[in-house]
Amino acid sequence: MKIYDLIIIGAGPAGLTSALYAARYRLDVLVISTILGGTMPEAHKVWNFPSYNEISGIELTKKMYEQIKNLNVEIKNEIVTSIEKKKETFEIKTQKNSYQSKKVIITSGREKAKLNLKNEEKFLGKGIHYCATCDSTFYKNKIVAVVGGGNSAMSAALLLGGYAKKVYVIYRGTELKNAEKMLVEQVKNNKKIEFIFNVNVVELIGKDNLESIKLSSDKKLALDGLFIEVGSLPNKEIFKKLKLEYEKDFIKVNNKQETDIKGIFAAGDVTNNPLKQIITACGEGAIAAYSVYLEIQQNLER
Amino acid sequence: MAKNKETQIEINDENFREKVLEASKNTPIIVDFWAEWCMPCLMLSPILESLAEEYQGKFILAKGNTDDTKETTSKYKVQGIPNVKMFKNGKIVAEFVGSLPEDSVREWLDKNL
Repeated sequence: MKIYDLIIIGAGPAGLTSALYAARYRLDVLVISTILGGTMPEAHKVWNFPSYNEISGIELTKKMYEQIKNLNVEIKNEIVTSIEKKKETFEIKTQKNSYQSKKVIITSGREKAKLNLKNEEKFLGKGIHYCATCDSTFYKNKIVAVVGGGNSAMSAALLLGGYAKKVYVIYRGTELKNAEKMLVEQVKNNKKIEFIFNVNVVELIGKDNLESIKLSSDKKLALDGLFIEVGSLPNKEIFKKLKLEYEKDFIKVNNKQETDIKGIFAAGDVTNNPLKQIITACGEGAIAAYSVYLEIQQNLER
Repeated sequence: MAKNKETQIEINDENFREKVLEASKNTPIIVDFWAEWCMPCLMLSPILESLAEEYQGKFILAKGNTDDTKETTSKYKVQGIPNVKMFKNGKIVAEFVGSLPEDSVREWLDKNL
């Protein structure tokens, strides 16, 4: 079986940058991911990526992808189910295949949290949404709500404000301290958007489609759509066999992006970095690829 | 390889009746509602396209850009994309929302075709 120098799990900004650097170091690299760009294409607009005043997440994704496609990096659209340490290599299993590599960079990011309410699954795409960028246009002149208080909730509210006639932002707290101040100001200046603070969504009501929601304040709100932006966490299931060290739910890395397992690196949102942005993910991805390159060089020299 | 049968078509509001509802009386039609700005759509589309070719006419893939199918998506209450609907005899017999890996799409096809 072929042994790659490096397998990168995930193709968000961290994974794509790792791939870019690894390919330029002439490492034999494979990227495995089901969603190009990770959560980046869900960003309606990115205003803080140097070199662009404003760019959509999907456009930025396409540009990053183009750059590594030109280097002939191999990308497989498969779901990784496990990573296991073997004697000399790592074995990465997907739903249908198995791959071997000398080194691994985990850039699998985070998965969007669900509300874990009854009917949430049933109404998926029928009033319940996790991607405002994908689905906002279906809510022209409708009434919608966004749950959450972070940057993605603010962006979703702004985007929906361009289509819907009314947008509620439902947040369990009052202080929007997790969101960028400029973004919050824009939301607050939008007359279509109304905040409902200090409440949770407790019930999703409707027959075939979502029709209304119940809040923890007992208030009922008639809605056409609910966009869920209540944060996200790494999917740790695939690392189960590795026994990685975590800080809270995130993989602990040092400044070389090394995890506590030799040969396994991590970059981007999956790590315990203090800031989770496209630019920081790119930076970490570059460092991880460089660390991999150095280790492979050292092994060759030995 | 020369294609004997058309396995993939583009649809819009104007030709939906003819190309989907009427045509599904002869062959199952699988409609893929998608948009440029939807990355899950862009991941799913090539999977559906290659399966359409592989299944050699057992179904016809009808690609509906949501910009060109506003009336149709509204009629069928499409609120989330990618949105895939299988039509037989003018009626929806199966559907899913969101991107799926190839194996799952194949399973869905084999179960419902």
